[in-house]
Amino acid sequence: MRKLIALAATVAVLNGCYVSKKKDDRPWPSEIVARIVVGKTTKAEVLQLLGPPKQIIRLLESEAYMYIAPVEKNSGLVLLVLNLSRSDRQYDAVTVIINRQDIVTAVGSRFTADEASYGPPWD
Amino acid sequence: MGLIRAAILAAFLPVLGGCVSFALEGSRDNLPDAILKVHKLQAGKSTLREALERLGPPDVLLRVRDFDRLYYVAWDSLSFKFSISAPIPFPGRSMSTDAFILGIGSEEFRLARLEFDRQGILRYVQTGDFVSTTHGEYFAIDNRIVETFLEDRARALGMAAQDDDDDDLDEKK
Repeated sequence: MRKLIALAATVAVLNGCYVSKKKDDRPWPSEIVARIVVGKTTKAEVLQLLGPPKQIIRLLESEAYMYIAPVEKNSGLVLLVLNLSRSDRQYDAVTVIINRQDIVTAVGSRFTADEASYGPPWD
Repeated sequence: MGLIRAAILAAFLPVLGGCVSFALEGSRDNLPDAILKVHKLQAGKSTLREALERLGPPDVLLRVRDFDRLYYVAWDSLSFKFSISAPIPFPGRSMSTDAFILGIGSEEFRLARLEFDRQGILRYVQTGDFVSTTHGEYFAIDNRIVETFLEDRARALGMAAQDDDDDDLDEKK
């Protein structure tokens, strides 16, 4: 009987809980990004390796190709008048700087999308 | 008597569920790792290439006059809100009004701004923290950097569409 009550209570509490995950674009494996060599790789090769960028920024003497793939994890618990919620957004991103001769002059990458997590609001 | 009160309260809770709420919300956007590494760069010496290799890709990147400007941003917050929402009967429309009776929370907003010249040499570095705590303490280290960031972010978001036009104007000159 106690088990049944505990189960009923758990079901009642979990009735208003949710988890969701939003993922943009496709992530680029770090091995692919490692194939971009400063002073050697060309714009065409970058496009071949990573595909079209999300954003192209024209800089003073170069262009920046911005690749961004965010992952957002949301979780929450709705208990009648008490709502607990948390959202965590982390990114996989690559920025490639290409000069006027179409050669890569700088590259930076970050792969932290996997660190997005579910949890209580205070986490 | 106590039991009756509890029963009445329990009966009212589901009814109040739609109009009275206590909310505890946590939010995190990005990690401050890159911002914590900014001190490794040296103005007048470090290059754009070095910055990208050490800090990773920036969150916002744009050209401002004679500089290429990079921003690294991280945000973390926790807030508690007690709010009341009341429906307002209006013929043919559904309307409601919300009142935040109580709102407290802590927030930490960190950013770093780096500016590189035409040769790709770092000329200017600025970092800023905006922190507010649940104890009513506020720290703002040069809030201008936050205002500039918000303006720059808005520009960067609209830049792709504007850029071609700007260049056309430059060519005509």
